[in-house]
Amino acid sequence: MIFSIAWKNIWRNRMRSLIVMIAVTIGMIGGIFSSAVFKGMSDQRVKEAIKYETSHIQIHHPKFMENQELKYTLENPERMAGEIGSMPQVQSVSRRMEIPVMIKSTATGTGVQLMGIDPDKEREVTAIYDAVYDSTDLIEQYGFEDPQRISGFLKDSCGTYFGRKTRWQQIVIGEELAKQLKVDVKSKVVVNLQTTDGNLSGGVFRVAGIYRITNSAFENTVAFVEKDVLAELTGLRTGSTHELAIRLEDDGELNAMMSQLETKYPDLSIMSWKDIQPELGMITEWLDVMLYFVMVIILLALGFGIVNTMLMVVMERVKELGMLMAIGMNRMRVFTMIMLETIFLSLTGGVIGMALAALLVNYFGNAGINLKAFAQGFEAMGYNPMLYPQIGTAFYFSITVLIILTAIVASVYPAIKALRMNPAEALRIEI
Amino acid sequence: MKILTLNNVHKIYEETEVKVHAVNGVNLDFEKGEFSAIVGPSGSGKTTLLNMIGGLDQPTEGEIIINSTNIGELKPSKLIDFRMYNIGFVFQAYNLIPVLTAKENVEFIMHLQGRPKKEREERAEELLKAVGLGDRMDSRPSKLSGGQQQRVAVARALASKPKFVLADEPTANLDSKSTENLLDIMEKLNSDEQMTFIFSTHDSRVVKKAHRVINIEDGKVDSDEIQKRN
Repeated sequence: MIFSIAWKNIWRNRMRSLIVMIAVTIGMIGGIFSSAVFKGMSDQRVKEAIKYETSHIQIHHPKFMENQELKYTLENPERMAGEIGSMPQVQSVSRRMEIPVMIKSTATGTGVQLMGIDPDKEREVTAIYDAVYDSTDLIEQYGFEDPQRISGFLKDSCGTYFGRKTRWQQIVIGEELAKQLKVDVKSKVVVNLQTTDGNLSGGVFRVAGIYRITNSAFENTVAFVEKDVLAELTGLRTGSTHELAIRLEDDGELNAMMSQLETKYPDLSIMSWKDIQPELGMITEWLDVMLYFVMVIILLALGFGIVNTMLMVVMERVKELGMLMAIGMNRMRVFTMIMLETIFLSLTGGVIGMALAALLVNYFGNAGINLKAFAQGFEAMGYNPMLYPQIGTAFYFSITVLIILTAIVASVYPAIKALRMNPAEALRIEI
Repeated sequence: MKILTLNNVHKIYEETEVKVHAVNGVNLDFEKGEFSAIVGPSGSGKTTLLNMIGGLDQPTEGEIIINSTNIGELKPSKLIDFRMYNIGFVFQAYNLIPVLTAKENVEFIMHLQGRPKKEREERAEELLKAVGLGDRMDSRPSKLSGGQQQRVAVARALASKPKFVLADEPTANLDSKSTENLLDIMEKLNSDEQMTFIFSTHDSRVVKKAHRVINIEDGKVDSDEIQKRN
């Protein structure tokens, strides 16, 4: 019955209650939607970083990460790749060489990280192959109804991910690097590097493909060549490996897999994507805290409004509360009634706000928010300018708990005011 | 049977600069089944006395014994429960819960007592019929006249099966017809169910109906007379 009275009481002054509910609703929509945008951005960034850049886990010689010296290769990389690849949580393993080099075009030159890869194996670990601007993109861009009609010339003008048979040594570079070097597909570039014996060496490569991802810094600094070609240039044995890049079946397996690998290979450096790109790890771990922090601030602000409303409610009902206490309603029940009224008032607005926010998040989560006008800025930071807001159901659950907590806290002061009343005095008050 | 005793009850207000002796050494006994009026002009101390009898206020000195319990010795939480089970209240301004229907208002105190729903409903209906509101059970207070609201308040006061009902100027806001009607109902409940009623009033119509009239003047009992029943 106290539940029913509390619920009915909040509708005694409809306009006032509606104003509070609308404030809570707007606060919830604003808080949840902006949280979903940030969460979506961060998750997208992490997914793309794993997909194109880091994979889930990388294994190196413990000294390799210090100076990236050529000599610090892994022992028995083939056996290791086989062992790790056969683990059920692992989707695939790619063996890579990784060397800092100078790359030059006729226009200019710059330093990049040159990755020596086995293209077929690398396809199973990272998706750079998918980011190479090729004839599929051309069809999409120019709207050819029948892909077969694309002329051979056009097809040849597009890049590939080491897909074309050619006598040239092939290199795949990022779009930013291509712009900087002023090169295009089929352009020649020269790569200078240090060999194992300390001498300078170099090779001429033709740009086989240009990849485009949402991280322009990565595009500018990482290029790919075939592993055997790089081994030959550096003087390392064919099959030498600096890095094992591991793609897992499921993101959730990361921690378990890390500890498994650390136990299995205690002498090697095992790094998760969070270690490789610590700023990303920090963002994802801190973002959750920050999102709750934002919600707490919003609820705190709303809480003061709710306290004010409930104080008005208590002051208006002094006589009624006096009567209730006089006829035998104890302090706990009076407190419970005021607390329930506050919870109902807050939660009604909260639930409506969460429902509307969920609809918005769902809609824009599918349709996306196009911020391509700011693409340059976003991509400079590694973010996709097409945002897909998303937020887990656990967040909504936590927000519900937070709203209830806010209401409980907000009800304390008005309830104490009510409990301090002397029933005899309260009954005498004329309102 | 004696159900209520006041022994040398004093109430002194010292909050203001002037010390006010609102109740000054009152000694009274009330028997079960009484229909008594405490009468006196404004400021005579009758409401203060009624509040102390109802346990809403504590005497500065003296004791109030209800059914062998000295209510001054009860802890606040026990006193609230004691009030709920032993004393029915009827207030001048009705003080019904506006969001509940007449029946729910009567049921409410039984809900606080933890009585089962079926019992609550049956007793609420029975009491509302007894006060002549059998056809207005589902009406909210705002849809009832002053007299009807006060009758609901009487039904509510009786719902908890109290030892006695305290009514603080119950007819102050009622017209003469409603007053007559309310007094008839309370008198009938008094004679049929032996329910004890103690009023504070300065309404001559109530005084006329009362079986015992206690006059209070300056916080003291000025006279205490039994009236002949009509």
